[in-house]
This record gives sequence, C-alpha cells and structure tokens, in this order.
Amino acid sequence: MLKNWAMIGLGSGPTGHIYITDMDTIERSNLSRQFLFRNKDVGHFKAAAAAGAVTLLNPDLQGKIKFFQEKVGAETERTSWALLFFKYIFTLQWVGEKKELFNDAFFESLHGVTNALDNVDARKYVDRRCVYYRKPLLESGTLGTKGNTQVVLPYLTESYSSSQDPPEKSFPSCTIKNFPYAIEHTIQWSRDLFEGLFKNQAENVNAYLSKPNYAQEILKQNGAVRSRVFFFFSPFFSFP
Amino acid sequence: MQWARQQFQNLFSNSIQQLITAFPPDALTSEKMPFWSGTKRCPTPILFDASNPTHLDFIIACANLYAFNFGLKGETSPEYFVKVLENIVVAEFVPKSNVRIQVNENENVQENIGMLCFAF
Repeated sequence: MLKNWAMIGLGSGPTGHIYITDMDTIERSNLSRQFLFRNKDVGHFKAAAAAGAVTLLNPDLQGKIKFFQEKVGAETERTSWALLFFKYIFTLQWVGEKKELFNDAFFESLHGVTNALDNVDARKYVDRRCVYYRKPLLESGTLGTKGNTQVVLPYLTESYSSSQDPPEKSFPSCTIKNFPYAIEHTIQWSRDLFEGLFKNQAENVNAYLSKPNYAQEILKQNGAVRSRVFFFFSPFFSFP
Repeated sequence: MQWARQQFQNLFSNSIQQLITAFPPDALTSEKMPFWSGTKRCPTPILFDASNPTHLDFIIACANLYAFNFGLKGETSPEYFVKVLENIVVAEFVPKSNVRIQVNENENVQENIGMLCFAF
C-alpha cells in the first residue's frame, strides 16, 4: 500500500506529508509478503523501515514521512492518526503542513487515511474516527491468497462498519486431500503438510520431553488428536 | 534425504496410486456416471526423476527442513543430492485393500488416505 502511494507521488509535494504507524517490529517470516522489508531490516520497527524503503523508491518523499510505533486505539487517541499496512497496524495519512500530532487538529489536518490493520476491532476504531472527522478511508486487508480493499468517502459511500464480511468458507477436507480442483486447494494442502511435518511433530516431541504428564494428558483427549500425536511420535517410538 | 525421498514417494506417487486403485480413471458412480467428472479431476502419479528441477527442489527443501528440526547441518548442493539419490531405494507401492476414501463432505469415513501423507 505504502509503496503504491509512494509510486504515485502521494504526499511528495511541497507541503505534503505522510504519517505512518505500526507497533510491530519486522520478523523474518514477514519478508515473504511484505516487500518493503529486507533481511537487514529484521528486528527493526516496521514503520521506520517502510518509510526508509519508500523514500528510496521515490526520493521526493525525503523528509515528508513521519513514522511512529504507536498502536491504534482508544488508548492512543491523543496520537491517533491512522495507520496501516498489511496484517499489521500501519496507518498512513496524507496531510498538509503539520506540527502538532496529538489532538483533534491532527485528524482535521489529514486529507485521507489508509488502513492496513490485522484485526477487525482496530479497523472499526479507525473507521469511527474517520466518520467523526469526515475523512476518506481506504481500507485494505489480505487473507491467505485473497486481498480486499474498500473505499469509504464521507457523504458518498457507506462506512467500513456498515457491512460485515460473510463467514469464511473453508474447503472440505476430502477436497483438499483427494479431490482438489483449484490451486487454492493445493496451496492449503501444502500448508497443512508443512505444518504437520515440520512444526507440529517437533512441538509434540518437545512437549513430551518437557511436560512430565504430556502422554497421560493426550490419552485423555479425543481419538483424533491422540492418533495424530502418536503418529508424529512414530519415528521415535512405536505405539500399537 | 532418505526421508525426503520417501515423502515424495508417499505424497505424489503412492497416495495417488492408492486413489486411482480405489477409483480407476473409468470408474462409475452408483448412478452409472463417470466418477472422475465435474470438480473431481483424475490424478496421475509422478515418477521421481532427479533431473527434474521441481522434483529435486522438493527433496532438497524437504530434507533441509527436516534436518533443521533436528539441529543437523543442511546440505544444498544439487550435485550431492543427485549422487545420494541414486543409491536410495524406495519400496515398491502395494495398494492397500482396506482403505476407504471419503468422497463427500458429509460422509464420515475413516480418512486413511490422508494419513498416508504422514506415513514414515
């Protein structure tokens, strides 16, 4: 999102400004889908790294991006500009000349807000703020292979909170295992397989080694869990 | 590497062969309609070929991930993999006769085929 804004030159004019915030730091697992970040950024704050990366993409943004590590929510209301980016909280705003960030004047000064949040509550919160201050909101999100955006314009469209997503459809397990007919099914299959082979198995073994009662606890659980766990153990032990 | 090679066999050959043993390409449903129709696509088992980059990449990735689990030092040289793979013997596939396969979402059948994915 931010890179797209940078490439169209948003906020890069003489009085332009962009504010971004994200409370998280970059983890290695983010690199595959958060393209502004590189190996060297791991461990750094996302907002700072993102600001640096897009300034390289568009040097006109030099000095026009301010970044923060604040969570978006009632507790930071005094500083609540929006934010956003992918699963994490980033908010991105484009404002005119601004010195004071900590009050209504801040929101009033924005021309727009972009969300790239990772949860519905934070989205609704930013939506409420944008409705209150009558600011346009671009909402965005990803889920697996899917992406979503929604444009909210005051007096013109419904707001983000006016509609609710339909419940998620999941694929039946027999489709995934035996009768896939879309690439999404095969991706899900691979993901499940990866989890089973390289993560769950090791976790179960470690739990067995670190918790004295682990085996007894598993025995009390239902059959499905039990067979799965024992299965993972099978390279090391033999169970009937 | 042995383990990774066996994974390949189980996932892309054995389980597929098991599936088409239960439902051959020309199988008919109880309504005398072709079983493999609509959204059901008849699968083809893959014969492992170390000169196929996709096959080799799978083995390299799989072996290294598994090695990581156990704190082993990885090895990523394709040449080395090809050499070792030449000497890995994979058991011949024998269809299991007692496997029932869940065809519909609502059918509650023991899902043995899925477990093949995790067979060691």
